[in-house]
Amino acid sequence: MPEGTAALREAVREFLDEALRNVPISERALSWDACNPDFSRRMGEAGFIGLSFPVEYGGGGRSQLERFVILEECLAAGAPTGFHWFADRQSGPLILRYGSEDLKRRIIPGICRGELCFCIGMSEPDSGSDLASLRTRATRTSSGWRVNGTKIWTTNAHRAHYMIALFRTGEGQRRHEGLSQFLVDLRNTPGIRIAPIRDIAGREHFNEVHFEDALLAEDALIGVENNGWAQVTEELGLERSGPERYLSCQALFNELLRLLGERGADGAAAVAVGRIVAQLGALRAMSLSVAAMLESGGSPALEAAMVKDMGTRFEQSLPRLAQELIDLPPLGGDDALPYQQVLHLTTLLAPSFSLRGGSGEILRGIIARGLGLR
Amino acid sequence: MMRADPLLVETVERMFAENLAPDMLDEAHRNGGEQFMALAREMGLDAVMVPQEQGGYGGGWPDAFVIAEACGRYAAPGDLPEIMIWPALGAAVEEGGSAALPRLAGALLRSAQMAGAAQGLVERSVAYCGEREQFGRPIAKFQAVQQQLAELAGYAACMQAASQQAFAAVQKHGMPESADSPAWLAIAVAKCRCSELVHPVTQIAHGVHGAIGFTEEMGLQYFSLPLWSWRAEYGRDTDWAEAVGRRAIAAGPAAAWAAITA
Ligand SMILES: Cc1cc2nc3c(=O)[nH]c(=O)nc-3n(C[C@H](O)[C@H](O)[C@H](O)COP(=O)(O)OP(=O)(O)OC[C@H]3O[C@@H](n4cnc5c(N)ncnc54)[C@H](O)[C@@H]3O)c2cc1C
Repeated sequence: MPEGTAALREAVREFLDEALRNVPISERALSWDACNPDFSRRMGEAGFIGLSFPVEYGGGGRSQLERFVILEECLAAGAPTGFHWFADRQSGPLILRYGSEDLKRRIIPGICRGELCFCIGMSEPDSGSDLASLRTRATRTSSGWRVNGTKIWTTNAHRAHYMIALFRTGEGQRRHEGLSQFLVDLRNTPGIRIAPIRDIAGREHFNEVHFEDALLAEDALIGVENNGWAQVTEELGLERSGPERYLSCQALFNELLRLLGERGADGAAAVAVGRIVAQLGALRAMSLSVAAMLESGGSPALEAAMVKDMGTRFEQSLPRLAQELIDLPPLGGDDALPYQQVLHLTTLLAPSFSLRGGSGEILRGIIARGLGLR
Repeated sequence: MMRADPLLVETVERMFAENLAPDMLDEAHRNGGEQFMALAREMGLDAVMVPQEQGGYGGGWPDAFVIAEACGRYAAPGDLPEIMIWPALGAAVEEGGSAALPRLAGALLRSAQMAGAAQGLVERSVAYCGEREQFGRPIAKFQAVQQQLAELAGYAACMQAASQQAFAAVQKHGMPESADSPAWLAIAVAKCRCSELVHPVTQIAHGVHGAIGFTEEMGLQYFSLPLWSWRAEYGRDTDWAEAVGRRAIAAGPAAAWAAITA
């Protein structure tokens, strides 16, 4: 960690202590899945969003490693960061890298203030793991683009201002060619219909997004036409390597530690807790090393895939481990112990950890390619 | 000093690659690895941690990682890692030799050797699966094999990261005097994780090699036998996990998190 991170860490901790005082445990349990626009605005005011973006666009001008400190502190505290998370993590960096000067000036400051919510339009009903088979098409018109097709599982589409979408724009010899990225103004574009989808817990966070002759301006294209696959691959490197890939269940771990402290723990419980801490510490070392690679301008897709695959498997194991250590069933509702509420919510969330952002099988396929096996 | 000297990295890689190629290992391990050790001494690798004012190289802990990791990755014979580490603990080169190390230093060193040996098994396994053909093609083309190799590579990367982090922590905070030092937790994490992953690593590496991997001729034992010893030396994963777990439970969530991020 570079010098100066200790002070930053202290500042974030103080901020979170205060800002999360009235955030209920049920919201903290959802971690970066929970959206709280007020909280995001306060994060922005405090200068904790877009920390590594250039100062001229409202960012903090600091390093990836310093940004890492903010992320992990938010996750450890169970801060409801969902409203600004995607923008800070991938959409902002994408626009900074590929967007026009005008676009950067128009969008980035709002992201840094915590006012803008982004969603990611990659998956489609017939294109999940096989993303390159996607069919939603943007066709050139005299003044821009006409879009037809359907995106699905789009987290936060119903609250987002913008979607960064991957559309088919050309033919190309291979399926990976002919894809392009677009910035879609979800609130001011006719021809877009957003329908919520309920998850197994009855929550509505992801959606189906229908494009029916939606018209986009010429400059909605981001980066190079038909270069979308390369851009998306880079973006997924950002999406897969962060601390949210092993800290989604941190609220549960915190409650577990608290309860074991109160009730006393035998040797076996201590071993189990120690193994969890060791996994956390090791995953953190891996994730930090990816952040260092990003800082030096690299695009570590393989290493990011490793963090996500191992990290999400770890997160997914926590609800089960907790139940081995404490004989209390998961329970929703305000009458339940905080531990039980968190266990309830994380148990329900856990299956999604290894799917969102690409499944384990697909990630291991990427690693295998990196090893030269395919 | 938080990073290893690139020149040292290059020198070590070249020397190890030239003397410890897979087909040279049987020869290299004869007579307790006398020849390799003589060469390592000649190059001053045993004195990397000797302070400059005593005529040594004056290396830091990240440099020690480079040598210990490479010894594991290339299945080096002899006890260069121990011999190299003693001067960093205040002993003269001749004093320490291959005697048992203090527990923390030993755990730290073993983590790097394990991380290296695991990476060595990744390289061996990837190479072998690319050559071995069954059903009319290299077995590396089968998705089931690819998934296992990816998992193996992930484990090795995890071991590398954890161990490297521990060496960096010792560089920053010094060799811990007590469990309150941030470096203590980093060493405990590294030893616990590396020891814990020895089983899946050797299981996959031997598995993808088939029967040939179970023969002396193939040479996987130069990696797996030490791994199976190292995982228990200077504390098993269970021992370190229990110590870490007790402290975390006693500390509570906030202090435990502060220790992880210290
Ligand atoms: C909570 C949540 C939020 C999400 N948010 C978004 C979002 O905001 N934006 C977005 O674009 N997408 C989002 N997704 C979608 C996510 O990216 C996909 O779920 C994921 O890519 C997998 O696609 P799929 O669900 O269609 O599964 P499928 O591709 O149908 O896969 C089903 C199973 O088959 C396996 N499989 C598929 N192909 C292969 C293969 N070649 N080899 C081996 N195994 C294979 C998979 O690993 C998986 O286990 C979200 C998903 C979830 C669960």
